[in-house]
Amino acid sequence: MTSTVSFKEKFKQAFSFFKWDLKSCSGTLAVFGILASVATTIILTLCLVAGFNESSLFYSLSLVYEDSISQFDMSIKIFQYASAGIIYLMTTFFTIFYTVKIFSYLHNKRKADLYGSLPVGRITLYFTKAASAFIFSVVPTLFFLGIISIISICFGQPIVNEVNQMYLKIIMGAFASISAYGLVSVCCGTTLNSVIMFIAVCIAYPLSAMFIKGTISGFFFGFYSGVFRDHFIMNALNPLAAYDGINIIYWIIFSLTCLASAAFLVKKRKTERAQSSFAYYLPCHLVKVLVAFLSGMFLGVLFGSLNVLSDGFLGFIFGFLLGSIPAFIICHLIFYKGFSRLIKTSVPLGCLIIAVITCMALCNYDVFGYNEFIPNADNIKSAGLYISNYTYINSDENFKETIHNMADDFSDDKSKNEIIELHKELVNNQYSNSSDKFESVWYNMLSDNFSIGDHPLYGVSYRMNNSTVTTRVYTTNILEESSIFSGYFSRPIHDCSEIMSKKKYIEKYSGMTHANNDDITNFSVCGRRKNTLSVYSDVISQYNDNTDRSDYDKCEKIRKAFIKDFKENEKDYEKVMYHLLHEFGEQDYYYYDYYDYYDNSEVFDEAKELYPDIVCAIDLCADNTYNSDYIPTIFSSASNGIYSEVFERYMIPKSFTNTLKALQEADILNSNLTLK
Amino acid sequence: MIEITNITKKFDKTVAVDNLSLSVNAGSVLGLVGSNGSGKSTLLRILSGVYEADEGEVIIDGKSLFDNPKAKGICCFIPDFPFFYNNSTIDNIAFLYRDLYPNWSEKEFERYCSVFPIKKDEKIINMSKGMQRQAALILALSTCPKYLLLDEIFDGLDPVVRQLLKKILIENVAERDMTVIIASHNLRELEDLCDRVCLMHKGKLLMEREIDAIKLGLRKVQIAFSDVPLDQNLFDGIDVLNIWRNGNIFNITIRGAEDEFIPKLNSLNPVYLSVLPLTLEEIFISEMGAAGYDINSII
Repeated sequence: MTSTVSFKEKFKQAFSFFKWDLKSCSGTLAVFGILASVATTIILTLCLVAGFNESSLFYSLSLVYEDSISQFDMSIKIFQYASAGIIYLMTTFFTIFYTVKIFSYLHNKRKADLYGSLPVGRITLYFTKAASAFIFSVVPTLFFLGIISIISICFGQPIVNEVNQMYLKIIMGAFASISAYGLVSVCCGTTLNSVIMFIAVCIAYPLSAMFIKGTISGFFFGFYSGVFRDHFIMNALNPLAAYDGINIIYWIIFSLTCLASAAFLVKKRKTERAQSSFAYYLPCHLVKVLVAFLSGMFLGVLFGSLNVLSDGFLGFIFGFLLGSIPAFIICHLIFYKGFSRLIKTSVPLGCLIIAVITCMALCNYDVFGYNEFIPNADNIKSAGLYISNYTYINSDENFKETIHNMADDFSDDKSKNEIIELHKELVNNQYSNSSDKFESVWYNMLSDNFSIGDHPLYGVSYRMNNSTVTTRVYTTNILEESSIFSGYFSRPIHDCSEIMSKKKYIEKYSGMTHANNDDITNFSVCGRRKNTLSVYSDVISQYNDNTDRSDYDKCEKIRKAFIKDFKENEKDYEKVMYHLLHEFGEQDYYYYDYYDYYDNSEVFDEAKELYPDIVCAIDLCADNTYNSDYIPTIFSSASNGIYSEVFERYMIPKSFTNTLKALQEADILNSNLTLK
Repeated sequence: MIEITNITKKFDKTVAVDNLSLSVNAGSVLGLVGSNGSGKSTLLRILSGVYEADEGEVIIDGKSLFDNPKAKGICCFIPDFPFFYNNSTIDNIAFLYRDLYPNWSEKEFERYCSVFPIKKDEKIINMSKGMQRQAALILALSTCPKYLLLDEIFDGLDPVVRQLLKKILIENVAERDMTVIIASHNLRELEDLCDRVCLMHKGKLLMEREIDAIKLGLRKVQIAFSDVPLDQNLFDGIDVLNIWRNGNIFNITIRGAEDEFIPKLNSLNPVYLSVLPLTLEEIFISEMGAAGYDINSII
């Protein structure tokens, strides 16, 4: 009885609607065009006339500062970044605007009469609308980005990477946002409800995910919270996160799922639901539960950390109920325009309260013994150890995977017992007060999102007898240093220097052996001049803006020579590792003070006294994703707020001939092996 | 031909159309009349594919209508409150319809634009209610629909345009075999236009008949007696729909043929007896009264 419409006819219909929508959105498109043109012109004018030569501006725009670049070229780069950034922000707003306007055909009875009676399939109409919104959002933006790129090329500057990435970010962000809003529109009966629901999901979901992450990290001492960093799950229902340009595969799947679900639902959707609250109630329940969860967690964690009712957990329950129930009712009143069906639809709230309190009880009382877990030496085959200041993990390595693989590092009883001892100390030092745990939720939930960073300080990894691997990573919060929050634990004092100074460990985990050249922030040589005490000579210094590529090349040659000597020379091993073997723990500040360390040449003098054939010491500082972060200046004692975490010091004996030769070639040592 | 089979449409707990079946022949004009909320507009929305019936089906020329662009391409629906965007003009709606409706006729479009006194490039939203309906009519008629569905189309139209519209509709029915279904409370206009009338009440079809048959089947009778017969069942054997008494004078609405009920009434020895045909409006009131929907039962 039904007749099919050919693809050609469908395309023709779709194109008619596209033209129709184009006409109806022409005003908004013109506004976008005018604003984008004006903004681009203003920025170009300012860049050309005023010019910018401030390295701080480059840092604040996250651009790579280059010394060799001229002021004019730098201005063009800033123009590219700033104008593309403004257009990027405008697109985010305008995409939502077009989308809301275009999908409003589902939310008005009179519009529904018009569109419902037109000879076009519902799915065809829906996809046409989605495609129109996408084209209106993306094409003008790409056009302006293209103009910016052409202007830059005309001025002789290549397109900066940030601008290149924006093409993908905008396409992905618009695709995900339009697909998600489209699905919400199909489920809602009014445009207001659709917009409220979209905004609620975009805000409530990531915040809820942050609370869950904060709770897991705060309550499961030893859990590596870095797994959440940039993980799609943190923003899974927030399509605006697709504008970040990460987790592309996830966002493609997400968008396609939204489109497919919307296509399925729009075919079944009752037209008469226009102007009523909802056509499908599932998203409504989801948003109500999300908002209730979020406000419940906020008050719960707040009351828990304030030790309300004299117990963190009881305070949490009180706060959760106080936050979630009113939030749920308010959402209901907004969506349903009254109290109708409130009791009937409160079942999800009841389930939420029971689930959250149960989970929180399990976490709070450590029912599964996660926090107390310390294996017996007999139960493990091998073990591995990570200590942030001594273990360098390259930025292109996966931290979790590396820690996991460390489980096979040491199978001798002594090393295993040492690792277990350190682990015991860490576990014994952990806090047990539940209000402290609730307090730590705040820090843990914010650690990634505001680039404060979460720093794995210690990590232990065990290969159990049944071949499974168990890992624990202990992290501190940097705010502890500024006394804003209380700390997790006091530092362990157990000496693991024997493990850390093993040749195998140095070869596998030292910055000297495998740090990327660009990650080395300081590389200096400490030695004696003919008649003076120890002095330092910088090769690479993060505080010296004049460091150029040739210094990195020198550093690379010295490192290669050192690695060769280190591998070949067995007898002078203890001399080389003097610092670690004698000073372990002395410099074990989490954020060591660079200047204190820099001035401290006593260690070299001590070593030289003990081993007169030591010629000099090489100091290396390196940072990467896991070992350092940019920390706001207010929390740091360093002037620019940057700390390097991995720092290594190797004593160079006379037997390290390759290294000494390289140092001489680098014009650091004289032929008589004194420092120049 | 439109075949409607046992369709039911509910809005939550309200049954708007209740198990309704109907056939509409090609080239006919069907009037839908009924009380407020009787389901006329809902029925039209189902017939135009805006709503999907909860039960039953609508077949147009052998094809299921709902979400079927081909079947919808030969239908055109003008709702009681047609929608126009703020910047819509007849010209830019024609821009969309031209590609969507397979039978769109540019010639007819130009013709109707000249017949109805409306400017093509004027914003429809700024026009009066009647003008907006004329704009909707121009666009609908230009699609040369095989089935034209009109909801309260006469509302807001001046008498001249009403006559013009009726003329155009009749012309289209005669020349192109167009089928028109009109839901209206303006029974006077329907009386002139429709071949058949459906009377709806509470979602059900109370009556569906040729308009001439309805008119012939119902009579308004005024009968007066010098002495009213004492017999309690005075009009037994006569199908009386409505009765109103003022002393010795009775005003009665009777269903049936005159040659059947006049001899019976004469046998009561009235001093005065007159028989008049009913207007559609009077028929509507009588039938609705019989269904329990009269002023007396409302107030």
